[in-house]
Order: sequence, then structure tokens, then C-alpha cells
Amino acid sequence: MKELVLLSGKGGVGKTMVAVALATFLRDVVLVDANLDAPDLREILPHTFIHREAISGPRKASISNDCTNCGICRDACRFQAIIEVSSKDAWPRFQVDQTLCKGCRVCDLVCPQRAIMHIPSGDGHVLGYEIPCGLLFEAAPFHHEEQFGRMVGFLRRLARQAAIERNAELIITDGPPGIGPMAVSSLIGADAALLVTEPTQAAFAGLQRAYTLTSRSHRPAALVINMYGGDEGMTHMIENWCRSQGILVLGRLPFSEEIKAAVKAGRALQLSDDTALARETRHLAEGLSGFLQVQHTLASTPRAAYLQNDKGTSFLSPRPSTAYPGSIEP
Amino acid sequence: MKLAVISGKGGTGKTIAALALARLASERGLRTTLVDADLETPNADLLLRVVWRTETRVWHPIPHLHADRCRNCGACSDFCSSQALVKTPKRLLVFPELCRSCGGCYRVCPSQALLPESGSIGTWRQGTADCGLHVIQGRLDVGQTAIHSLLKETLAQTSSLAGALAIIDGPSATHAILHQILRSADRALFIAEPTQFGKRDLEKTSRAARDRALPFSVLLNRTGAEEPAMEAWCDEHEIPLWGKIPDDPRIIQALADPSPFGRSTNGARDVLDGILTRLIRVPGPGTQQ
Repeated sequence: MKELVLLSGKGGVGKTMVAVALATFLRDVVLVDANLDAPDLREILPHTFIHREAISGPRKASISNDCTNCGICRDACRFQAIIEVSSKDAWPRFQVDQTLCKGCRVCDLVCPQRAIMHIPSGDGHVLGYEIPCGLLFEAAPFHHEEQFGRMVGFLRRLARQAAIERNAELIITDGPPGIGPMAVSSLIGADAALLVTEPTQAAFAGLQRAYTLTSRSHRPAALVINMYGGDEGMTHMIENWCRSQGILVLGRLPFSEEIKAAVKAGRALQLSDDTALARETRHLAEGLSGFLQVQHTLASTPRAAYLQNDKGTSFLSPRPSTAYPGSIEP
Repeated sequence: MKLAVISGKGGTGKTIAALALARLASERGLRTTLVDADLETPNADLLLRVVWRTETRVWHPIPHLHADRCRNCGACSDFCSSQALVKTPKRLLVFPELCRSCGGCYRVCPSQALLPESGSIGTWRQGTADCGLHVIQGRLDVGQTAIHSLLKETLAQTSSLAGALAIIDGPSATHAILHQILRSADRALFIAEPTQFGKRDLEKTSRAARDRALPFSVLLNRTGAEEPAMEAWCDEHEIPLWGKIPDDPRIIQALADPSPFGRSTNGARDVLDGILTRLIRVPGPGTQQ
């Protein structure tokens, strides 16, 4: 069983779409929606709810009436989460902003009156769904941003458990944009990263930062260029840079009016079989199959040459392979 | 006046909108600062030619272990809510990149074995783009998790400037980071995509702004001929829709182009000019395409 994490650096390049497109060509896959700011996977896949599991929420500070308004907690809070209320009649005069409070408990430590309590602020939930290619896990709306990394870890653990039970061979984690705590948490213990980008300067800059993150975590990386629309110059530059870094270039997915229309209309995504997008996605899925097989044996040398392995088991539905000469690195 | 340009979803067009507004303001002669607060992947400088003048590294205190004094009692590890300190049978492990600098570990250690030392979070730099536009950009060190600290420093640079207008290009964020940005602004402009994801994003973010009593308006980006669903939603919730920019990939380059005889922006420049006028109530010059 392997886990692949989709990252991009820049937002809006189509990680979620690539995850969904891949899922239509793979069987027995577990998808994880690790973008807790904007989890969109469930909306574009036909799904049936099957599982809900609680994860305990953080405890956040609350100032009781024993407070003598000394203000020491406000000065000690490193997150500016304790504010003085404007109303002159309020007691206590200090209040904790629940969004900014990280539950670190320093205020409790320093309060001379022991007037600060930490109260559970609501559990988070992980939700599981049946989808056509397997299972999907996402987090129910959860407001404690400092816990997002922990929540992603929880989601992925659950996905692993489910994958074992279902004999699923692949977990695809749709990562968040950026390279912050959620992205870092997505990579821990994953087998490899699929970097998704588009042929623009801003996306390339984000790609480079995302690659710095994956290489620091020693995760092997492959690349797909999404929304390819014929800008050969930018595309070649990105692909050449990837090769120079040892990132396996797996292919280009063309821009698709079909996907755009489906997303806008809120329709579940259906890829028709005979489009260029479908062909390129199948090609991507084949390349990934080889890439992931090899990572298992080459985990300690992420920059070694990648070999196409035609002996291993494939994640694909049994269909004739359509090899595109020259597009997979020998 | 500080305007925060925001959305929760990535790729909606925050950077280009913020940049174009800042440039238009600068062209009108207003003292303007563009703040690139997308610290994980800052990219405002890719479309602007900026001459950078200063770069400042931002540090935060992280625990340094004096192993000779440590009794491995685990008090710090129990207290730490970031898993930056982990007690193992043999010794205490420190993971500085997870530290959020709450300052608690030093207080609970009975042996004075933990002392703060400086850890780098990232940098902010400032410079000037064409037409006198002042630019400030924050950049997080890859792997760092203490985003709020660098964001605080980056946003703090706007308070010391005697500028008429500061435009903050925000990251895709919906929770604490968004609140941090909203708290530093006088007004928010939400960049919305006319999709179901954009609508959900708008619902969540407008609530956050309303909770803070922060004036909030919407710019609809990448629209088709008409977007009845989004327009109806804004109308129903009494959220001002300040403009619509059509879906045309040439607009980005055209808006970024500094030449006054630059390419047609398909009406986008007029929309942004209109937004700017509403922001500052100063009539603009007649626009040219």
C-alpha cells in the first residue's frame, strides 16, 4: 500500500481536479481531502456517507470571575488572543478571542489568581464516504487552525486503516495549497509527492518552494503540468528544471472546458473516455504506477533514475497500455 | 486606509487584483503600499519590477536545551502543545520548527535547562516598484510553522508608514490567519470565483468579516456573460458587489503591464478603477484602454 500526496505551492492549479481525474482511472483507491481550508473533493464526486469519527478538540482559555483585571495574562499571551473589552462595566475586563487562542496554557501559568480555565471547545469529526473508485475521508468544518496539522494526521491514519481493511493499494492525499503546517503534516510518512503545477510564472515559483519542502522531508517527487494550453516555453522550462532536480516528469494534462463547466455547474465530474484529457490522465496513472513501485525499493536514494517496472502489480483497471515514447524518463 | 484582498480558496486572483489596484492608486498619485502577505508562496514581485532596498530576517525565541542541566523530568514535554518538545526514555528531543514561541517551557522547567535562543522564521523585505509604488513582501522559511509571527511582523510594517493606502495581498486562509489579516485592515475585498466552491468560500469568509464588523465587498473574477447565482446571493445577503472581471487569461498580463499604452484589459481596468474610486472617494482620470 502506498500513499501519494498532491502538493503545488501555489493554489488553484488543480490539485483536486487531478486527484479526481486520477481516481476515475484507478481502482481501490482511498482519497484523503487534506485541504481543511477548502475541502472540495466530496462536492465533485458521487458519494455515500458511511462513517463518522470524533477527534477531541483543543481546550481554549476562558477567564472566570475570579479575575482581578491585573492584565498579566494579556501581556504574557504571545498570540495577542487576550483583549481588553471596551465596555466599562464588564467584569472581568479581559476576554479571550477563541479564534486566536492556541490553547497553549501560558495564561493559566502566569495568572496570580488561577482565574483561567481551559475548556474543551468542540470536537472535530472525520467523515468517510463510499465513492465509485473506493473511499473518501474529509474533515467536517473545524475552526481551530492550530490543530489542522493534527487533523490531517488523523485523517491519514484513518485512511491507512481503511485501506488495509479494503485491500486498497493506494491512498491519494489531496494536499492544501502552500507549504505551511497542513502541507508539512501531509508529507509525514507518505511514500511520494505528486507536484501539480500549471505553466505560469507564479505557479513555477510556488512549485519550487513545494519541492524544497518535499526534498527536506526526503520524499521522492514526480510532476504533472495541469491546464496545459500550448505555452511551450514555460512548460519546457518547468520540465527542464524538474529534470535537473531529479523530479520525474510524468506528463501534461490539457486544459478542459468539460471540467470547468462541471465545476461551475456543481455537477459530479465525469471524464468522457475519448478526450485528450482522458488519454493524458490514463498516461499519468500508468506513469504513477511505475513511479510508486520503484519508490518502495529506492526509498533511500530519491534522486536515482526511475525505471519503468513492468513486472509489478498495477493499480490500473486491466486495459491495454498506451505508452507515449519520450515522456517518461528512462 | 488598509484594504485586505482575500479568499479562502487558492487561485482566485487575489494577487493580480491587489497588484492592479495598488498600481492604479500609485498612478493617481496616492502614496500606496502593496503588502504581499502570502508568506508561504509570495509572488507579487513576479509581475512587478521591484527594486528591493532592505531585507530583514524575523526571529522568534525557540528553546535551546542545556543538556547538562536537564533531568529529563518531562515537565516541558507535558506542557508543550506543539509537540516541539518530546521526552524519550534517554533524553529530551527538541523540534524547533514546530515551536510556536508560547514561552511556556521556560516557565515550567525546574532546572533552568531550557533557555530561549533565536530561531529564524522567515524574512520581510521592502522596495519600490514603478510609479513609486512601495512594496513590502514577507517570505516564510520552508518548513517553518510559526506563520502568525512572521505575518504579525509583516503587517506591522504598515502602521509605521505615512501612506494614504495600503493594499494587503492575503494568502488563501479561512481561520486564524484570515482573522489576523482582517484585524489589521479597515476593509476587505473578497475575490470570488463564480463556482460552487467560490460561493461556499464567500459564505464562510463573509461571516468572519461580519463577526468583526469589518466592511466587506466582493469582486467577482473569471465570470462568464452573467452570474445570476452569485449576484443573487450577494443581493440577498446585502453584500456589495463592486465589480465583475471576465474570464480572459490575457487580462493578467495586461493588468500587470506598466506601459500606459499597454494591452486591452477587456474592461478589467475600468472595474478596478471603479473599485479604487469607491475606496478612496477621489475621482480618477478618464481611463484609457
